[in-house]
Amino acid sequence: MSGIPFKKNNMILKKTVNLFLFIATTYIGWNFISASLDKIADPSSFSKSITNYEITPYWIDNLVALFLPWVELICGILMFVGLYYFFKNKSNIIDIPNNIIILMLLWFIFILSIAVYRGLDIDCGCGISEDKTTPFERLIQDIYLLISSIIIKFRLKIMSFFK
Amino acid sequence: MSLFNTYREYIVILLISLILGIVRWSIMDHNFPLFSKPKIVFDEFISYQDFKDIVDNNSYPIIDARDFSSYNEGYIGNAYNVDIDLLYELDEEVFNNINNIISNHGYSDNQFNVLEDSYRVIDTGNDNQPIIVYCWSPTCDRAEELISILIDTSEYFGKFGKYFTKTDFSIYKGGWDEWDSIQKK
Repeated sequence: MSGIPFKKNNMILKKTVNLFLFIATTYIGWNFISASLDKIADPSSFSKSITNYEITPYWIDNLVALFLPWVELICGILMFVGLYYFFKNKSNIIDIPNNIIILMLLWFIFILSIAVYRGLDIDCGCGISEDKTTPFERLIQDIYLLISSIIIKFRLKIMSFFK
Repeated sequence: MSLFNTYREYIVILLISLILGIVRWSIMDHNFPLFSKPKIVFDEFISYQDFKDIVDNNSYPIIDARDFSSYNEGYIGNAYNVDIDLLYELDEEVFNNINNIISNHGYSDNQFNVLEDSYRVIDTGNDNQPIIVYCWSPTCDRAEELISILIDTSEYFGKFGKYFTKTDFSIYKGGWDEWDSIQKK
């Protein structure tokens, strides 16, 4: 009899982890999809934003402005697809978009940190919302996103902890 | 090959993104070069006093490169507004302003060396009047960006490169902020 309450408790914990995974995936997926749509619609503005960082060589800016938003969109969509298959049959397909997203976030955090360090007064060019987002505001947001993707990456270890 | 197999899914995602990017590029409503052009750099700028003489005598055309709403709140002399953001949106009024400068101030005398499907602009030079461009302040680079669009010869934004070369432009770097602060004194 003593094992049953423990099992019940364990189930609740597992469900909580699953819920947390769902929230983290939605947070990342939604952020990347919504940010990519504006950039896909207006590559010129996004190219200007990349140029403002003064980090990449000038000739690559337009190419990145065309290419990167699609990576974000595809990865954003695949996060939801991956989560669905993870819940359905424990498939690890979610790792593929998640790894790309971690790499992108590390790069974004790197260039945003440099922009903040240099005190550049620029629009971050991330999502292109109505209001100007400063690099510092976006840096904080990207750190939250990175923490979420790292939790998704190590989800199996976290879940085995509750077994 | 083993590298491809290991990272197959990643490579497929990147390839699909690249293809979709190229498709998006091919259906853009204005020319957007795949490889960006370098930023134009000016070594010399017009001083406030020289600029004031030009404004007082109405001797050269002036372009206000700030945004349209700021221009409406006040501008220098008889400046035409060419807001780059509106230019990117292919705004008709901005095109009209540029065409007015071209027709009213005689910027139609450049010659072209046609080499198959490309051409090189030869500015016949001295008979063109300089155009003075200003924006907000020395930290503002909208003037340089605008000039790089206007002198572009890759049929960017309506082939203005046929009429203008870099030597046709001068920048009043002090911009609206300097002008306004001195005028208010």
